[in-house]
Amino acid sequence: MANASTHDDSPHVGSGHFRAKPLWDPYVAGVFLGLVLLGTFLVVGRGLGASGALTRITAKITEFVAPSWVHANGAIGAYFAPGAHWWDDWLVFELVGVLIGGLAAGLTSGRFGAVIERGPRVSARSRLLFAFVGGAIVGVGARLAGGCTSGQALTGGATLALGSWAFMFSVFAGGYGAAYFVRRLWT
Amino acid sequence: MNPHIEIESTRAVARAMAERVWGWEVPIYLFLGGLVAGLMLAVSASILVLGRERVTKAMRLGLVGAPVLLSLGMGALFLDLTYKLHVFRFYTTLVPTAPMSLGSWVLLLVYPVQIGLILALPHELVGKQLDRFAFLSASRAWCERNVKALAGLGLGLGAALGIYTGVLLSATVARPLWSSGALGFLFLASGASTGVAALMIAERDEAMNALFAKADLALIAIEVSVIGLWLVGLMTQGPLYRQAATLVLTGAYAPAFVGMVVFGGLLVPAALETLSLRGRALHSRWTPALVLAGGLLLRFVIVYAGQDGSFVTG
Amino acid sequence: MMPIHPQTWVAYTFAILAGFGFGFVLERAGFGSSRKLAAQFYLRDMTVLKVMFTAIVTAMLGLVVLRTAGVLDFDALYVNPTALPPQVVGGLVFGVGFAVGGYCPGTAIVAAVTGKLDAVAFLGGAAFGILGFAGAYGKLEHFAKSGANQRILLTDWLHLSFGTVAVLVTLLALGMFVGAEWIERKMRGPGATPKATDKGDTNVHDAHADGVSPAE
Repeated sequence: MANASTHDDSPHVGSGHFRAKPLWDPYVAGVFLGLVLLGTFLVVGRGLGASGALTRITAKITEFVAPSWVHANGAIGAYFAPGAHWWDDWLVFELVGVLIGGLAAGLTSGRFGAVIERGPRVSARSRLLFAFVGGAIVGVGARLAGGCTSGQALTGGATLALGSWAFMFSVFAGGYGAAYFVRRLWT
Repeated sequence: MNPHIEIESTRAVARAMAERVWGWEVPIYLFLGGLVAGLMLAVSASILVLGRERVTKAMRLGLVGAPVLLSLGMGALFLDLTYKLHVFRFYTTLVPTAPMSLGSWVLLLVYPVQIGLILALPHELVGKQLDRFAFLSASRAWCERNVKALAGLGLGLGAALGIYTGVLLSATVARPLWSSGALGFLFLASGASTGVAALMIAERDEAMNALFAKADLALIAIEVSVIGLWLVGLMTQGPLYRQAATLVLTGAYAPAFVGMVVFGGLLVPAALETLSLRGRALHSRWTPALVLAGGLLLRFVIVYAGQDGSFVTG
Repeated sequence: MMPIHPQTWVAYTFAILAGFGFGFVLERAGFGSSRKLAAQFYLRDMTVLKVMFTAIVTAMLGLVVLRTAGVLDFDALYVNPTALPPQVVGGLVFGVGFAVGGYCPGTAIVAAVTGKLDAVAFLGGAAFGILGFAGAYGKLEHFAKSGANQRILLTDWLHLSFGTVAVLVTLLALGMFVGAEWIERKMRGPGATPKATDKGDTNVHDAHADGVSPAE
């Protein structure tokens, strides 16, 4: 991520002068997101996701360290069964696209550069710590529910899956419920 | 989280993997060889066109890196035990018309020219070390005087090295995917663009970086056209060739080739470089990094996919 | 007839392109910023809700139209199976982590590739959590597999037709949008500049100002 030249407000590159682009209007962004989702429904018959690929990649990395533990594990061992491949999933390839797409969007919008985003009352170190802790909680929640905001709430929401709607409102409930207790992190 | 979709074709790939003769060593070697060819071409062309005064620190670093990377690539090739004896034979039997042995001699000629260029234009990393050796000063003076000639040689040998990395495949084993004259030029164009991309990652001079970006764009355009020629050629050549082309276009290697190499490693970085030249995208080292990753993956796809199809089994 | 269901490798190639669009839109929506995402839980910035429900309504209405036109076979579409206990509990846990960490997995990936180091830490934590779940799977398996785990739609639950539910969801979303706009106006107060604050680069610049550790 380290790139000093991206820190400037107006990094002059090549011959032109770069102007940071504003965000899209939320409703416009939502329509485009919905169209991408609709596209995947129509072409491959399934939606988007993120935590599934993270699970497979985590499993693969862990397999280097503790192969027998991973292979015997009830939750992730199936990815390494004979004839199966840890990468053999639509979501893994989708993740590759997300990486490239996010990078391209960041570079063309100007919202790019190594930073630690944090609330005004929290130090960089504790922000990283809480980001890690939050990530761990999210990881458990996503595996328990079988998906995350993309794979459950967004995809399942659009296909009117009952459980996905229950998941979505639970996420908002959990978030609003916890917000008061972690307000020092963000406000 | 979601159900598994069809895996029968994955099994076919797994089966093919077990039968593969050339492992990861060969694509690594071809990538590093192409990268070195690209570095030599880019720096030599800069010396000839812009003059030695414009040679930046990054280019000098590229010159120092070239023989190191090439040796790493050769090391990878020697690791490929199955073909170790083959490599040895490349050098011992010089048949001037055989592309393989010719290419191996190109490899050996590349080193002295690279060393000459380093002596003429040393990076500060090696410059201080070189000063310690008095006996080098005569040869350094000679190299500095003849830097244009060395650059000319570097241009020629760089091109030969780049083409050789592609010809090596088409000449070694008869495989439908590799039997195309376009492969040499594809590897040359790809090697050149990865060489320029590597320089872009190290370059701090903005004017030079813009120049590199333009050169890289032109090379990517050439590479995409050569890929097109290569595949159209295969598609129109006969059923076996068409089958080989289908393998990378819609078959098991399509996600890697179409999605990651062509889209992620060529089209997206080309778009980002164009936009950044026009001031509509930030300049970042991640853009040339995409080109490098795409170049590496291209070698893997071509070497692996080529071995998955043969004239014998169809 | 849709979905096309191309063979695996073509589908995987398409996945890369679709992922590109997904990642691109997430960044443009401002979801590469944990402060913007977390602001949703403090009612200061309702972008998450607006983008999410607009996307759901757009895709859903697309499905309704294509299904009615006979182009789409809805039964051939993968629908997340419903298993209420783990989904509700998982959602609550997930929401807590979202508020603490400031990201969800997809947005963290986009944030990480645009240089947010807190997102890298979040993803490391997510991997840790995923492993923790796998480690405790022996104890959690019974609960994780509880519930019907079947294809149950809102239409089955409400005993209404697909079109009717779609209209209700659209109305619900519109109502939430009105509420979201009202809340944002209320929270920003009369003196605040209404739109300029969420134009994205503010976040980044603030982040710089708060002392963010540029690399190099």
